[in-house]
Parts: sequence; C-alpha cells; structure tokens
Amino acid sequence: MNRNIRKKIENYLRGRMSAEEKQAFEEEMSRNTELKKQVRQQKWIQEAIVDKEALAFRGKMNQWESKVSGKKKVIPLRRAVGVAAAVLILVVAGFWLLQARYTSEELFEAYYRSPEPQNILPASYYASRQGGSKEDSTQVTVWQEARQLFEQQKWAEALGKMEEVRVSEVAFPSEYYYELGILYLENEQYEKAIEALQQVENGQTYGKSWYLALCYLALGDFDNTRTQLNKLTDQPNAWQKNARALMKQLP
Amino acid sequence: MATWGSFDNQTYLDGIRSHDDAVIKDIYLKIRPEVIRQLKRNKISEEEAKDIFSDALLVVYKQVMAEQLTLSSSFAAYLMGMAHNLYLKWYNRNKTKERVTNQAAAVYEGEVPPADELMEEVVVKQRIQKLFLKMNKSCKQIIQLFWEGHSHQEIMELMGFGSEGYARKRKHKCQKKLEALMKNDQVLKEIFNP
Repeated sequence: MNRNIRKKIENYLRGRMSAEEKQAFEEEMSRNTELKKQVRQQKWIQEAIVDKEALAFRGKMNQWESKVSGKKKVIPLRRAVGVAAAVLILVVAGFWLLQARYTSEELFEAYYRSPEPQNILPASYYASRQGGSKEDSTQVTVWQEARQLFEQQKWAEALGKMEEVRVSEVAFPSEYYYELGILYLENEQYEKAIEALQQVENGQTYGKSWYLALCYLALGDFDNTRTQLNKLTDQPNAWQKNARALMKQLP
Repeated sequence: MATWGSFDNQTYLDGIRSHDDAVIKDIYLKIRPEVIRQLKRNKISEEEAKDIFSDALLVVYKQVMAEQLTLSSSFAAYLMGMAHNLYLKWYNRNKTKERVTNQAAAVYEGEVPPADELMEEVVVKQRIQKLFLKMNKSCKQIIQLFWEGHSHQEIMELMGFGSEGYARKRKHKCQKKLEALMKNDQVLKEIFNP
C-alpha cells in the first residue's frame, strides 16, 4: 500500500474527510476491490486497537499463555542441529529475498529523509531577496515565516504558510516552488508535490529530480521514478550515490 | 459432556465478564490442556491448537460481553465446541479439509456454536490484539492515540516528541511494524490475501 492510499484510508476511517471527499472515496471503493480489502484491514486494526476492554482481556490471556508455557524444554542434540540448519537456511533465504524484492513503501522509507531547511536554500537567500519590489518584499516576509515553521519541523503549519504566498508577486518563483514541493512531500501530498516541483525551471536541477523521484516512488510509479533517477546517475551531484543505489533496488 | 473445570457455568460467565483472575486461571489450567489435546488429535501442531483455543476463548468472551450466550451444556463443553468449529473453519480456509480424519470428526459431538461472519471478525481482531500487545510501549501508545482520533500534533504533545513530523514518522513505522507481524500470522495472512 503506498503512502498516499494509506493516508486516504486513515482519513476516511478517522472521519477526517469532507462529505465530498468521503463520497468520492466510497465510490472509488465500490469500483476497486483491492482498495475495499485494504480499508477492511485497516478498519479491523482500528477496531481491535481501540477496544480497550478486549485488549485488557487479551492481555490477561497473554499472561496466562506465558505462565503455562513457561516450562523449559530439553532439545535433543540431533534435533538441535536440525533446527540450527533450518534457521541457517531461513536466514540465507531471507537475505536473498531481501536483496531481491522491496515494495515502493519500503524503498521510500529507506531513502527519504526530512530535509533540513538550511540544506534547501542558503541562509543568505532571504537577505538578498529584500529590497526588491514592495509586493515581493511582502511575500518574502510570509515566506520567511513559513521557513521559521519549517525550521521548527512544524511541517503542516509551514505548508499552510507557504500556500499563503502569492507566487505571482515573488521575484524568484522557481525557488518558491522548490520549497513548496518539498513541503508537500513532507506532508505526504505527493501529487501536489509533483505539480509544484515541475514548476521549478531555474536551478535546483538535481534536487528537483531527486524529490520528484521520491514522489513517484511513494505513489508506486516506478517508471517515472526511473526517469527522474536517470537524470542523477551520470552527472556528479549530491544525490548521485543514492540515485544509483535506489535504481538497482527498483523492481 | 465435557466436565473439566472447577466452577459452574454462571461463575465462568461472570468471571469472564469481570476478567476475574481465578476464573481465567482455571480456564487455562483445567480446560485449555484438554481442548488442545483434543484439537491435536486432528494432526495439527501444538502451536496451531493453542492459537485455535485463544481464538475460541475470545469469541466466547465477545459473546459473553454482548450477552449473546445461553449455555445448554457445560462451559467447558461449549468452549470445546467453539474450538472445534473454528478448527473446521480454519481448515476450510486452508483448503486442507482432507486432513480432517474420521478420527477428528469424532472428536466432539456436543453443542457446536454456529460459525458465522462475526466469528471471523473476532478471530481477526483477537489475533491483531495479540500481536499489538507484543509491541513496545511507545509504539502501542502512538498507534492507540492515532486510531482513537488524535492528530499528529496531539500525539507529539502527549508523547513529548520534538516535532509533529517526528510523531508522524514514528506512527508510520509502528503501524508498518504491526502489519509486518500480521503478515506472519497464518490466519491473518489468508484472510487478507485469500
């Protein structure tokens, strides 16, 4: 299950969808049996976990299961050797399987790291932007407020503030879209992240490709993930090593 | 009629309802070994038999809590019947019904509770609960807060995390861990990936 679908299912089950979103999601579910199955699974997890009375009873059962299974067993040597051999085979097979197969979600988890604000654009950026037109200066102030929230790792609030910026009044829209795209990515809004990153026209070429690759990866779109990674593997850049490694692990 | 166990029916039902230690202890020490012994006559492993017993006890627990249980036999016999029924249901799901031998068919002839959809739901949830309880304390708290409807911001505050982003990541990892445990449970694996 990719993160986007997971988030939708969670929002649906936790009652965090608008009436329109809920209706659209239920229509999608009626057409998509796989989605319906995933919703059922998450619903059962939710119900199992919030049922504190049953959990308490299950806890008592676990205690008694441990108590009545507490006797130590003596394993004969031949059986122990057999068990050890079986474990070794399982470890080797498991290692081989791990080498061979990853889901998009596992790869995303392995490669995505929350960006540090200072690594996105240089600290001197805002200072150099001041002094432009009045409109630009006002928008940069809002942008700076978003950056402060970003630094505090308040991703949702930072994104809200960034969305307030009127991009038509910003002198350097590519930089704005770059940060906006990363904030969407951090907030798991992958389609919007792709839209924003695709607006980046000047600079940040490699970063743009890396974050686009991660967005497509999160959505389970391996073809577009590869397309973006291909832009990073040949030229020396900060993401080249990770891009090469990720490329090898794609299914 | 099975007569294992130390108490009368009403004491078992009241004890289950109130999570009474003496009653649960009696179920585990007096009734469980016999149920497992009978289930194992069907050539299933000790672990499978133990799991089926746990499933059966939780289904009975749910019935008691919903006041849906009227016993016409002993509590032990009813629990045995429930385990027997779950065994058949479990084997149907595994498509290995042929392993149910003639000997197995004669294992239990007492009261057999119906195998309905509710039973499947209870079994799934009890297995999820068993796995959930094996997780570390902070993961349990995070997942529980999340599914109770708390926002990541609230989870951050309640758990004392440094940022909302960190709360989101921890929740995601804990949820993934639980789902990985679920993939290793034979019954859950088959229900979710038939």
